[in-house]
Order: sequence, then structure tokens, then C-alpha cells
Amino acid sequence: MNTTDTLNPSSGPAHDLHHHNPSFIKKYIFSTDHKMIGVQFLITTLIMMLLGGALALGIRWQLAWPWENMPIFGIKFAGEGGQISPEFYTMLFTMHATVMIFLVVIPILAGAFGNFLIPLMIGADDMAFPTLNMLSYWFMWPAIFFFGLSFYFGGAASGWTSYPLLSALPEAAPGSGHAQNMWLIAVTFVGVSSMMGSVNYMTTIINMRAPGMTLFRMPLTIWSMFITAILQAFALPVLTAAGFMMLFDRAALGGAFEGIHTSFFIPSGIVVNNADPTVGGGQALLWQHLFWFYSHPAVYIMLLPAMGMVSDMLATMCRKPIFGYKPMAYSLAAIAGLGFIVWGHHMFTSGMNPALGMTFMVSTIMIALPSAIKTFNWIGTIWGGKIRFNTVTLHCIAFVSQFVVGGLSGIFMAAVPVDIYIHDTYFIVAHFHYVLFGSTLFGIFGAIQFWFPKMFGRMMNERLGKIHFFLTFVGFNGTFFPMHLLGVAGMPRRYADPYIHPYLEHLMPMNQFITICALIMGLAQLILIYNWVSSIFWGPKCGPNPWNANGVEWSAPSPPPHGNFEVIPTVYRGPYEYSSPLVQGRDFLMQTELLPPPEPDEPDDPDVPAGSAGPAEQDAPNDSPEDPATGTDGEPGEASETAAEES
Amino acid sequence: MSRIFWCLFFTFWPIAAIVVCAIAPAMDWGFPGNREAATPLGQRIDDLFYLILGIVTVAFIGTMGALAYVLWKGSKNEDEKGWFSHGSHNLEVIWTIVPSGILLFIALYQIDVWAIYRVRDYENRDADPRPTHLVAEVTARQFEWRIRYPAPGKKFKTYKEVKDWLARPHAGDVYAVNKLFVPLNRETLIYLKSGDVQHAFFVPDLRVKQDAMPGQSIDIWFTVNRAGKFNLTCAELCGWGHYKMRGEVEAVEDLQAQLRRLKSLQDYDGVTPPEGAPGELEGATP
Amino acid sequence: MLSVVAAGCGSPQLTYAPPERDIGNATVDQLAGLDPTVRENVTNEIEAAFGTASNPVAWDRLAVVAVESNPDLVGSREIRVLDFGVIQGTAAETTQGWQGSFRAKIAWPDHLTSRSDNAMEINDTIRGVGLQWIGTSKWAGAKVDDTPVRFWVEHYDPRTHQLTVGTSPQLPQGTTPNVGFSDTFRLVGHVLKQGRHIFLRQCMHCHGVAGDGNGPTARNTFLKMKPWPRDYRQGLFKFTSVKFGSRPTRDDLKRTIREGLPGTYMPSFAMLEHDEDGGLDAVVEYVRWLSMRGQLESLLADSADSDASNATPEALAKTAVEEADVVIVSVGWKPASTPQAAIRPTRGRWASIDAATAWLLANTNKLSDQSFTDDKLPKDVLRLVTLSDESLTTDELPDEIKLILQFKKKDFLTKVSRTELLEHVKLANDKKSPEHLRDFLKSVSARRGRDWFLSKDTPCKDCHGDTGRGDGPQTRALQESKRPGEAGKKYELPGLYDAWHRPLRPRNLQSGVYRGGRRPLDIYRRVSQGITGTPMQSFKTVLITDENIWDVVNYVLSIPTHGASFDEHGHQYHTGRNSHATPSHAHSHEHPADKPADKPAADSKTTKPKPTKSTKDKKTQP
Repeated sequence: MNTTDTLNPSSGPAHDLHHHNPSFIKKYIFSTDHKMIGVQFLITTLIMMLLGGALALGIRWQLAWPWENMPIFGIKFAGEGGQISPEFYTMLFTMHATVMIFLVVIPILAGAFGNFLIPLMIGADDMAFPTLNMLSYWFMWPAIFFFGLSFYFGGAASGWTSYPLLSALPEAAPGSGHAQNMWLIAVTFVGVSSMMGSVNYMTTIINMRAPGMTLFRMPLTIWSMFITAILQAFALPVLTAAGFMMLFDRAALGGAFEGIHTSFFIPSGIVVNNADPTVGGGQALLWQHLFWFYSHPAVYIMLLPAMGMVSDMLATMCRKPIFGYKPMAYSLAAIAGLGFIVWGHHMFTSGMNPALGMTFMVSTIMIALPSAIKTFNWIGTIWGGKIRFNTVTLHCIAFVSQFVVGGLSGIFMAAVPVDIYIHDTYFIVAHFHYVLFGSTLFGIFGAIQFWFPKMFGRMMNERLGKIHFFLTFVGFNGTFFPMHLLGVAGMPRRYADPYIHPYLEHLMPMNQFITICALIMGLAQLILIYNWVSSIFWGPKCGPNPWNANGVEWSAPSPPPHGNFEVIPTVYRGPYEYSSPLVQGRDFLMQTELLPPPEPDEPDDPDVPAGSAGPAEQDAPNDSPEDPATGTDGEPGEASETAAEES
Repeated sequence: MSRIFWCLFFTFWPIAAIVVCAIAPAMDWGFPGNREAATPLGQRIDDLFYLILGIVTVAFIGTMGALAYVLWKGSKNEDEKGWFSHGSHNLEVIWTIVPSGILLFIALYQIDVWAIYRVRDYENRDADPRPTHLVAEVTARQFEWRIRYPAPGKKFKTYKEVKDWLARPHAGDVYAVNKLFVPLNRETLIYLKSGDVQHAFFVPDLRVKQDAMPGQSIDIWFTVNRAGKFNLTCAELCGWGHYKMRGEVEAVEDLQAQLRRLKSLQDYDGVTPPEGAPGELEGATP
Repeated sequence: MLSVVAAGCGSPQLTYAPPERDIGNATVDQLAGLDPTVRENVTNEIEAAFGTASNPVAWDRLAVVAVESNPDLVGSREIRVLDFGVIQGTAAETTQGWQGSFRAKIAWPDHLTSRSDNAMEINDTIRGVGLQWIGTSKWAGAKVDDTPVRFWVEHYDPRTHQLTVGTSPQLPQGTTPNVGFSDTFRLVGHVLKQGRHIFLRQCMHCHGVAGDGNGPTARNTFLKMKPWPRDYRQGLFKFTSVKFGSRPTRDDLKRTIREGLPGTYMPSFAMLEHDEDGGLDAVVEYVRWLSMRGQLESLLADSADSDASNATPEALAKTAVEEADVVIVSVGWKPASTPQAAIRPTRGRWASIDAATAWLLANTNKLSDQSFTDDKLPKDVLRLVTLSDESLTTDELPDEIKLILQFKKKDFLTKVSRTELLEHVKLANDKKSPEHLRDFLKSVSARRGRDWFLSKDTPCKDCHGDTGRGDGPQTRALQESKRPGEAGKKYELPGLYDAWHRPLRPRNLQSGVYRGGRRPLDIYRRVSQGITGTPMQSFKTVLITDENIWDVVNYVLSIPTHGASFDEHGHQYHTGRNSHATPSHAHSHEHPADKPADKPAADSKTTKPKPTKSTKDKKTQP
């Protein structure tokens, strides 16, 4: 409680004193304001998205027209007529995955939206640790710098999974030299950055919620961010440790670690490229366990926040309370929990004890359950709503439908025997792009459009937004749906030229079709960038609550000033009271609105079916406009205290 | 207007997806060569695949149908407000129980295949490796498959002999590269090794895939029940030449005859012509 | 995304890397040092003979077919020399076309016609390809004004097998080629194009577009391939069936491609064989073609490359004109700035002197003393007018000079090619094979082999070490540098070096990995013929007879399985690091059919077991 008091910005005015019109540097560059940091993250990640996309198109070009001269990248190989080299191809897909995962998806969710939304949505004036927050952004840059160095050294080329020994022995491949060291160091920096972020988010969400913002009045976005932060906090150290073990194995560190040459992952007697035989009794499999212990939760780190944000956007755009708020929150937690015990399903063919395969298979299949529940609830949320078909809605619907595909295709590889066949084929590629791109990225596009007014006080262009959505959606499905078929046809991943294998020759036309769709999709992103940038300057101005949404953030002016709220708001109800019968003439009821005490006979909505009697009382504490004191869980005391201070 | 368009849009693409999958076999987008697996286990894997495909298709149609429906209703909802409902407890229960039931069924149903495929042999790998089934040792290296057969006619009685044979080259061993002969309709045991980095032994037609871990020698079991040649590829990134690892597995009636042929070519001393066409002499695979 | 934006931008062309030569430690572009005129000439000749990298042409100036016997076979069979897998078809009813081209209906081999489903592809493949006309009709080797008529494919219609043939120079008007049924076309270089296609897809990344062993993957700064990919342009190939230092046979190359080189980055491409149209043969042809091209290029560059440092112009000019087959007189009175510049390349096939020096020569040496000017050149000097001088264009040249230009160029090339190239680029016809059977009393034989291996006369142990582990004294000694201009110097690092001045390790004979193949015949050849380009010379001179060689072979082959040493009972056993638990009788592995398993139990009685180092032998490949 003490911590709460110290952290809780009841000292609002004092707060403002020592931040009066700060210098440009302090305001825009080394800013400690969570909003500015969020925007910084957003800009950085969008730029990185363009880079990662370019790399992806390079891959697609090679797969569609193998060894034809490649635009842009081909210049590096002028003597060969622009025909790229195989190791360059391996570098392409390695760095594509690396950039997209570590520099785009994770930072844009946790970094950009986490930063921007958490304090606003829980009604705090800033993060718990503003400076740490700033650091978490500025630790991205060493990472980016070292990834850049990796490019300079030819680019890490052992896949984003960096399985040893390919990644552990510098002689094993062109990309396994310095490039791999740089890659490992960069990943470590990304880890530090996200770790700083997650610590900050947890603290903030636990301690700095506005009075009345009980846990079960938090928007699902906050729930997802909270759970993501926990995931990161527990999973990341393992990856960081593994990264250092790898660096030691490679004897890559100078200075104090000079000459340390361990062999965690390196068995003895391995000869690569006629170097001397390796010594030491390491086990390459160890890396896979360590890596996936982080990287599978990482998959959910890359998904959950999008789920949360989509829930909020859907409720708003369908003018309807979220369907099954608590099940949604619980299933988020369930996914996170299960996410820790399924990493082995990446290793079914790796020769680990097959008995493990069974347990991992069961847990993996069961993780489909909470995902399914969420899907049903989203559909339920749309059910009976008054849908506004704007860009945000479209992206959310796309999210749901693509997530269904991604989830269902996941069942195939959860079943071990089937996975034996489709493991490391394009089926896998299709699957995780449906989840990471089809779901997460569509969610992100929607979120960009949805919270843009809050960020810049202007609206983004609807027409451009819709065009962008249409092209992206069509391009996306044209690109990744056929990949399922490629996978079933047995086309392995990471082949620079699959067609030297006769049984794959006939797949070339399909790959060309895929590439064309990918080009469309890539170009469409330029529209997004243009729309985003131009709207910052020329978009139509808007008020604090353009969407008629309920969230606390919409009660702040847009863009919110430093400290977000004039007075720390008090929260009286859950975030999803749309179309509430309590208010007439409008279909939204903000969390911060204080309503006159209701007439005693509070009627149930007529068109609530009998079935929903249960939920009605289940949610009763939320929608009855009582004062914050009667929050139904954890911190009623705290809430009342803080409320008391306010009044 | 645009509402109608978007509703149709979101209704259309799942249909398109299903149509594509439906015509896939006709377009030869199915399993390699549109043929069932050439191993009994592979066929069970296929059945499993189609079972899951069926379940998934139903789920897909269901969800997408529901989505399309609620969109359609929501698009022309003329009420002044949306339906004020926080959800339905019963529904939640239903759509928690039903899927979990189905998922559990899938999980349990296919455990058996996995058990036969891997677990059984793994568990009693020391007790009873059934040494007589040993066919070859395959060593994957950048970027080729080096193969070593026991001397023609050599029989392994105990697992100790197998271990000893695996431990070092033996006189009379038959060496080959990229082309692996396996017996037809007989259980086959292959020991997979890696010469350098991690590879994966992937024979699509047999639905066999196993990573070759450096420093380990992993046993692979399968029974080919269809004569013919099958593509052998590498399924784990092993460096810049990953895609180059093109090999072939051929199931033959008389394995020993093949081994004798290879052996005689391998023993060729330039004077006594070995059995086999003279044309093979210079380039022949020893 | 960016790549999409620029997707329309122009495509780079394939380029052949110019040959390099070692100057001390540095390698320099061999052509770069040359006088522009000469460089231009060299490139012209190369392109005339081989075409450009993007559009190769077959070499059709050399003999097409020769028959030689292949001792490896019972009896002998025909081996084609210097052709590139020509395709032969018989001509029937030809009709005069337009502009000297004419149509001929011909029958192609099946593997061309069978692929008529992709007609356009075939047409594209063989259009412009040179035809060689063999047969009795007057068009076989026909000439117009002493210039042999060359034929090429203008168009091919695979459905009707109708072939439109173009000729150059144009046939005299009205003369319809009367082709007998006996006449045959040889379609030169079709296989080359197929081979090139495969090469660019499978081999180029290491061996480079020009076959210079410097492809994008090989020259990658961050992966130094060990050993370096072969540079075809010296025509030196390691694992051959021929005598040390001479060119490989087709079968040698084919075998290397098919088997790969275990323990190196050269994988086996055995599966190429299953691809239609004999892809393997096509690659072999293309590799030979690249090798010849590279050799000719280096040859010309070498011959044109001179250092005319301290010598008087007269002397240089004399030697130039005396030794030269061709003298290039650049027209226009421009006295050279320095004597060195006056004489451009010399020493060898041609010389280029400017007119001032020519004038000098005209008065001093055996050439006719009549003075000459631009338009009136002495007849007895072989002349090739280069157009390096802007003051002069082809049109201004008197006709006879144009003719001379044409003729002498050809003449020059023919001289070079027939004399030098045939030596350099043609297949070796001295394949080495044993006459005597391999000795079958291997236990004894292997023992004798070991004695040879350790004897003073044979240097085996100096490199391979006493136990054949490849750790002989030579691997620790400083070696004489063979780099040009480093005579008497030593290489910086101790150890052996190959002909390409790259460090080299002697094979570890205990590992059981044989790069050149593990057949007794292969080992025999390594011993008796050596390994071209390495210090592994031919030891035929030392161990004269086949028996001795077989002894060494038997010993070497038995080391991995039976060990490098013999105990007092004459049993072979392993010593040192990677010894084996169960030594066995030296002869127990000779008749595996009779004695299937070398029974570990039985053997362990004979000697006490040694500690085993499990799978190492098989897996570590030095």
C-alpha cells in the first residue's frame, strides 16, 4: 500500500512543475513521457517493418524465379548477372525473421502500444519508472546497430532459431562468423529492452491504476499487456542465458571473457570445413530446449496484446459489451500458462525422448481450447451489435478470421505423427504467418488506425485505410494460403532452389503466384505509411473521444498533455458498457462518468435472452453505477482509499 | 452499400479457401505425386491427416459461417442501440466443453501411431534393437548423404555387434553416396548420424523425418511396402547448400544383390572386370 | 518493398572474371597490365572462339572427333576429343532459302525430338548454334574466297524437324546446296548450353561463372572454403586417371561430379544423372569448355604479357619480328615516347610495333629495305592493322589490308590453337592402369606395403607420418615457395602447399576417407600417378612394379580397419589416439563373403584390447 501511495500520482500538480515546457531534446528524443516513447517505438518499428518486408520479397523473388537476377539485392552480385548466392538467400530469410520478430512485432505491441496505452487506459499519468521506460526504448538502438553490423559481416544465416552447430561453429557457414556473434549480442540487447519494459508494465498495472479501476474493470488490452509482461519476465532470462552460453561456445567475447571457450552445445569430434575436430561433450539439443523455452512463449508475447486490443476495438465498433469478459481474461491467462509447457512441439523430430513428445502434444492440443473460447467470444461480441464498417472494424474482423485459420492449421502440427510429415515444410510457414501476420499484424493495423486520434489528435484517412486493408487482406491470403498446399506437397522450408528436387518442380507456378501476391501486399504497406505520415500533418482534427468509446483514455484530451489527465480520473464501471440502457440518446457510457443513482427497479434489457440471466448477475458489480468503493475483488480497500483522497 | 460489400467480402474468402482445398488433389497439390504413403505407418499418418482435416473443415465452416451471419445481421441492425448483453454463461460452458472434448479425442486417438512410430523402439532401444533389421548407417554432411552398408551377407546377432559395427569402419563395408537401397516389405533399421551440423533425413513418400543430431546416432525404423525410388531431402537448415542435399531411397526386392554389385564395383582394381555394365566402371557408385 | 519499386531496373549481364596471376602474394588481373590494343585483341579472340558469358558459342575450330582406346575397358571404345557432345542429324531434301540461308529436313536423336512439347525452348536453345557439315557434297568444308563457309541454325521447328540453316559468307547466288542423304549436320554446342544451364544453377556458386573457383560463395570473406574450389583455367584437376599433370578424361570429371570429393565441400551430384538429357555429361562438357577457354585466355595473356625493361628498341623489335607469327604495325607516324612503349607485346606469338620502329627495322634487319608509309606496307611483313589509332577507320583501309586483317587474324588463331592449344586442352590419351592383378595374399602384401611406406626410398612417411595420420615431418617444415618471382624464398607458414599456393594437408590415412575414391584402382592411381597440383608425385619411378604399388595400396586400404602397425605375430593393430578395441587378422577382411564378420571375440584373444574412441574414424574427415 505504501508503495501505492508513493507511486500513485496524487501529487499531480507537483508533478507538472518540474516538467514545464521541456527542451526539444527532452521532449522528442530522450523523452520520459510514455506517449512520446510509444510513438518513438511505433515509428522505429514501422521503418523496420519496411526493411523486413523488403527482405521477405527478396526471398519470394528467389523462390518464384530462382537464380534469375534479383532487383536491388542482385546488384551485390553483378558479376553473376544479379544471380544471388545461396548463402545470401539463407541470410535473407534469417534476417527477415529476426527483424520481423525482434524489431517489429514484439516492440510494436509491447513497446509502442503497451507504452502508449497502459497509463492512459488505467488512468495513470505516466509509467511507474519513466526513465527505465526511456531506457527500454534506447536499448533497442544497440540491438538495431548490432543487427546492422551482422548485415555488414554478411548477415547471420543460421535461421532465426540459430540451431547449433550451424550457429556454434564459425566455420560452418559464411553467416556463422562475426555475423552470428553480432546477431547474438543484438538479441541480448532486445531482451534487455523488453525486460525493462515488462518490469515497468507489471509495476504500473499493479500499482498505478486510477481509483475504482479494479482488476476486472481493466480493459482486455491491459489484461493482455499485463500477462504478456509476465510471460516476458519469466521467459526472457532463459534466452539471454542461452545467448551467452552460445557466445562462450564460440569464444566470441573479448575483454574479461577473453579465451573462454566452453562447449555447451558442441559435441566432440565434429569436423566442419576441414577445421580441427571439435573437443568437448556438449549437446546441440540443449540449445533447442533453451531457445524454445523462450521462443514459444514469445509467440504468445507476439499475439496476446493484439488479442486484447482487438477485443476493445470490436466492442467499440460493434457498440456492444464484450461477450464474456471474464472468460476472455481467464483464457488469456490460460494461454499464457499453457504457453510455458508446449515448447517441445517444435522438436518432435529432433530426437528428444519421444515420451516427451506425447506430453507436449497433449498440452499443445489443449492450448487450442482457450484460443477457441476467445474466438467464439469475439464472434459473440459482434453478434447483435450495431457494426460500424470502418477500417478498424475490418482489420478486427480480418484478425478474427485469420486467427481461426492459423489456430486450426496449428492442430495439424500439434498431432505428433502428422507433424512428423509437415515439420519444417511450408505448412509451418503458412501456419505461423497466419498467426503472426494474419492475426497480430491486422490487429496492429487496426490499433494504429483506432488510437491514431489519441496519439496525434487527428484522424487517419478512411478511404486510404480501406484500400490498404483490401490490398493487404487479398495479398495476404493469396500469399500464405497456398503455402499450406506447398507444405502438404512436401516442400521444405529454407530451400534456395526447391526445384532441383523433381517432386517439387510442378510447384513453381504456385510459388510465382504467391510471389505476385506478396508484391501486392508489400506495395500496399506503402499506402499505410503514406496515410500514417500525411494524417499526422493534414488529417482532420478530432475531439477527445472520436469513436464514442468508453475507455479511460478517451476522457483525456487528444493528444493528451504531459501527465495525461487534468485530474486523475475515477473509474465507476467496466470498459464495455456500450448500448447501456442506463443512458438515453447515446450508446456509450464512459468508465469515468458518474451517473445519478438509478431508480430502484433497474430493468434487465428486454432483449437479453433467458440464457444470459447468469451473465447479467455475473457482471452485476460491473455495470451498476455504484461508487468505486465496491470493486468486487483484490483491491477494494485501495480503490476506496485513493478515491477518498480524491474527494 | 459498402456494408453489403464487406459482408460478401468476408463471406467469400472462406468459400474460396475451401474450393482451393477441394480442387487441390486434382491440381496435384496434395501429397507428393498424389499417392498414399509407401509405408504402413505413413498410411496411418495420412488417415490421421485426413481425419484432422475433416474436423478442422467442419470447425472452419462453422466459425466462418457464424462470423458471416453475425456480420450480416450486424450490418443491417436498424435498432437505435446494439444488443446490451455481457455474454451467456451457458454458451461459454458449451463452447468450452465441446471443443475440449474434440481436442482430447484427437490427442488420444493419435497417440497410438506415435507410440508405434517412435516411442516403442526408443524405449527398448538397448534391450532389443532387432539387430537383424540393420540395413545401413547414413551420415549426413554438408551437403550430401554418405551411406555405409555392412559387408554383403553379414548378419548381426546381438546388439553388441551392431554397436561395434557402428563404432568404426569394418573390412568389407560397402560405401555409397546419396543413393540408399532398402529392402522391400521388410522392417528396416537405419542409424542416422551427422558429420558436421544438424540435418534431417526426410523422405516425403515414406512420411519419414528424423533430425540428424551431431554427436548422436539415431535409429530410424520403417517398412517400405511399395517398390520404387523415393526422393530423399534434408529438412533442417544445414548451411548455404541446404537445398542441394538431394538423395534417393530405392526399395528393392533383393538388397543383398545390390550390395554385392556395389561391393564388386568398389573392389574394382582396373584389371578384372567386375559384375555390372562396363559403362559403370569409371563413374560407378562404389 | 524497395526491391519491388526498382523491379523494373535493368538486369546485369554475366561476366567472366579475367584470369589472374600471382605476383608474390598478390594476384592481379592478367589482362589489366596489357596494352589496350593487345587486350582488345585477346578479348576479341576469346570471344570469337567462346562467345560471351551470357551467350557462349561452341569451339568449332578444332578437330571434332578422334578415336582412342580406353585401357580401363575390356576392348576399346570411341572417346570424343575436343567436341562438346555434338548432336548429329542426317540431312534430307534441302531447299534454297533467302539470303544464302537454306532449309534442311533432318532427323535428330530422340532426346531432342522427344521433348518437342516445349518446342520454343528447343528452338531457343539451338538457334544460332554452329553447324558442322560433314559429308561428301561440295558443301563439306566449302570455301568462298578461301574463307570456309560456316553454317548455323537460324530456326528449328521441332514438329517438322525443319531446320533453317544460315551460311557465312553468303553462298554464291543461285547455287542450291545439293545435299546427299549421306550428308550429316553436326550441331555443335547444344549440349554446352544445357551444361551451362546446369552449371549456373549447381556449380557456379563455388566455381564461378568463368570456372575460376571464385564464385560468390567461395570468395565470401567470411567462409574460407578448405580446400578452395577448383580453378579450371589451368586445366589442372586433382583426381584423374592420367599421368601426373596432364588433362583429365571425361570419365574422371564425370566421376568427380557424381561421387563428390568426401571431406570437402564438393558434394555428390549423383542425382543429376536421373535428370533427362544426360545432364551430367552436359556439365562435363561445359566444364571442359570453360577449362579450355580459361587456358586459351591465360595463354594469350601470358604470351602478350611482356616486360621490355632493359633492351634496345632495335633488339626488341628484331626478336619481336623474328619470333612473331604476326606483327602488328599501328599505322600513323607516331614515334613512341619510350623504347619500351615502342615495342608493345613481344616474346611469343605476336609483336606490335609502331611504324617508326618498323621504319627503323626496315633499314636495319632482314626485312625488305623499301621504305613504307601508311598506304603502302611492305608485303613480307605479316601485317595486322589495329585500329587503335583514331586517325584511321576501317573504311579508309585499302581493301587488301582488310583482307589481310581478316586472314591473318584467322591465321593467327589457327596457329595458336593448333600448335599450343591442342597440346594444352585436348584430352590426355595416356590413361594409366595396372597391368597386373592385385595381390590377394593381403596380409603379406600389406606388410610389404608397410615396409615400402616406411622405407627410405619412398617419401610416404615424410608427409603422411609413420602411422599414416598425415602428420609427417614435412607438415612442420617450411616449403620452397613456388610463387613466381619468389624463387628461393619460402612460404610464410610451415606445411605443404598446392600448385595454387594454398596450404595443403596430407591425407590422414586412418580416417578411411579417400577423396579420390576408395576403389583399389583409385588408390593405385594416387600412388602410381600422383595427384596433379599437389606434392603427391607419381611414385611409379620408385616402386617400379605393379606388385609393389599393390602392396602399398593394400597397406593403405587396411589401415582404417586393421591399423597401421603389426605386432610380433604379424597381426595389424592400431596405435595411438584413435586405436580400436578389436584388431583382427590382416587377411580376415579379404573375403567378407566367406568370413562375414571379423569376429571381435575371436580376435580379442590374439591381442589385448586397446581403448576405443568410438565413432571418430568415420566421422572426422580431415
